[in-house]
Amino acid sequence: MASKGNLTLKSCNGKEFIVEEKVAVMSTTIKNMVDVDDSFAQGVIPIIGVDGKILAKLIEYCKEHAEADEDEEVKSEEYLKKFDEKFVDELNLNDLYDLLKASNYLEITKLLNLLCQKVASMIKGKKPEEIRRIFNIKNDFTPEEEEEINRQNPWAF
Amino acid sequence: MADSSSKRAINSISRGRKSKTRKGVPVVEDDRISDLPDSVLVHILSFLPTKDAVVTGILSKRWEFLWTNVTNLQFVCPNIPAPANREKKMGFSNFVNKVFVQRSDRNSGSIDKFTLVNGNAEIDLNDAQSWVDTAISLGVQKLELELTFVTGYWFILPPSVFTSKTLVVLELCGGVIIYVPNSVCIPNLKTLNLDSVMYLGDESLCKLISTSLVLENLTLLMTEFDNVEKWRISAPALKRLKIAFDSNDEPFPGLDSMLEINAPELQYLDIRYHNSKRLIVTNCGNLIEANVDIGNTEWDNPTEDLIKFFEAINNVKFLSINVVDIYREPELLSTKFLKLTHLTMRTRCAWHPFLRWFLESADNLEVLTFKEDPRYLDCAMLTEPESVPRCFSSCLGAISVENWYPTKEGFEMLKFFLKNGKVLKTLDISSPWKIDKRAMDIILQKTSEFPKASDMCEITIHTKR
Repeated sequence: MASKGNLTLKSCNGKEFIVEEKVAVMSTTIKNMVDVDDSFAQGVIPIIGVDGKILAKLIEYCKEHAEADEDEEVKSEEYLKKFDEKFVDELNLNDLYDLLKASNYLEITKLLNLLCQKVASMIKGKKPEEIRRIFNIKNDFTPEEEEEINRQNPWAF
Repeated sequence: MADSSSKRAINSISRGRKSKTRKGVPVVEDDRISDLPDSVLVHILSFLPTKDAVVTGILSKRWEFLWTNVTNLQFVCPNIPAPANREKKMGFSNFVNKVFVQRSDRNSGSIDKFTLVNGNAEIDLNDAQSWVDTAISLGVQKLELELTFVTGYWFILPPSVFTSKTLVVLELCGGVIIYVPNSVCIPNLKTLNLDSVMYLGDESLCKLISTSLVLENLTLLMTEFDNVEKWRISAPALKRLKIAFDSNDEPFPGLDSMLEINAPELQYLDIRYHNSKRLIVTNCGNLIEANVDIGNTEWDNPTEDLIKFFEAINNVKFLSINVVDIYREPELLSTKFLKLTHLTMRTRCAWHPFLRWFLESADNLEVLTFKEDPRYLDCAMLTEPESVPRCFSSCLGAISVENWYPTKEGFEMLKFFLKNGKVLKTLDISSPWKIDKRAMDIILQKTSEFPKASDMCEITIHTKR
């Protein structure tokens, strides 16, 4: 049972995390749940579709940023930037996808932006073939279709 | 050649295994990215220049039209290396046209942001006008144009911009001509950056600013060629103003303009303005921070303007001021700077009249940073204050002297600070010269022998390494 000011989050595989409310409400989804229904604040909040490993990662991120929001002087922007860089650099692609989905569902805007920026940086300046290889995207166009798209989008300027 | 093919061979091996890292880029078995919701994929694409976003349309059927939903259009042309044929030069323009056509074919909705930077690519001015018109009609909130015209023509900003109901940020740079119609009304404009653009007549800018009732941030970089003689900035809601010439550190020669600022809500002012006929600033009672670099060699009525200027900014808390080019004695000034706590000043010499005057007018000063301009080292030191300014005995806790030279005058100044600074905690001295250990010891020895009004004062000397 979480003490006052704390919330209990439960992952889809049954792992429970007790976190400070200010950390948990970095997620707009959780904030709305707590605001609307007081029983969530007392009991356990199930986080559907997010496993323990990913939930731990989300909490790690939110903890750093919630404290930063509270007191700007404790953590400088520079510190957070470094934390963010390290945070995304250590992710493998599977974690990246899981976190993207989870931060989208939980509406953790700052994190969603960070992750989307990371993926964008992996696409930027690359040729289609390289992008397909990085993300294992299967080209399901026929050669004729591909030619037609190439004709319409002359991106080689 | 052989090297790159062997690399490829390694890549294909590692791709066979799960979650293997190749040069920092993780590789996985499944195409999980395509399973993400449309909104997330479009969000990812919105962080890319439009060129890169459009490229993803050919990845697979899942991705074909996703890019058309991106609401952030950024067209930034890389510099095309010479020699480039005309077809190549027009390629950028054609691309932008096609993007707009394809977007409208897919019935995509509004645009949030439109950025156009043409580098050295030729663009058709009619095309560019229609892009801006389209962006405005699609409800763009942030419009950013940085244009250079290789053909020598300038771009006249289309009138639609001046009646946009959605525009919040407008940033224009370079080859843009601004002609503001009488019907101007951009009700939501909060940020306006005008960098080295040209105006049709003095009234254009004046009209634009005075009708922007919620404008909070204004950056204005002026040039010799902007075609304005009288700058009148009257902005009821303006909070931050940055105004400067597009020139080097030297004052701009031969400039013959006047500047009038009336911004009652201004909190932050950054001004670099020299050699003008007049500078009239009124009504800045809410100012918190100011960065001032003005000169008055050519002012018609400089003393009066100067008095009014200092009266207008006298509520400031943080002030950084360069008085190197002010050739007037401050004797006529009677303003007090009672809220000023942090002062940074650049002068021609130690105990410049303005330094003495500011210390005497700022009773609540806590931090003083003083900097001599190294260009005027031959300038004689002027006399120290006759009486000790009040802030020395009540609140001045930190003094730093930048560009300090170990001259007789330099030591005299330190002596004054130490002798009179009753609450002084730190005295920081930094010299642009390289001072070796022996010389440093002598300086420290000498300063430590000066009488000190404050027991807790720490002296540090920084030297060029």
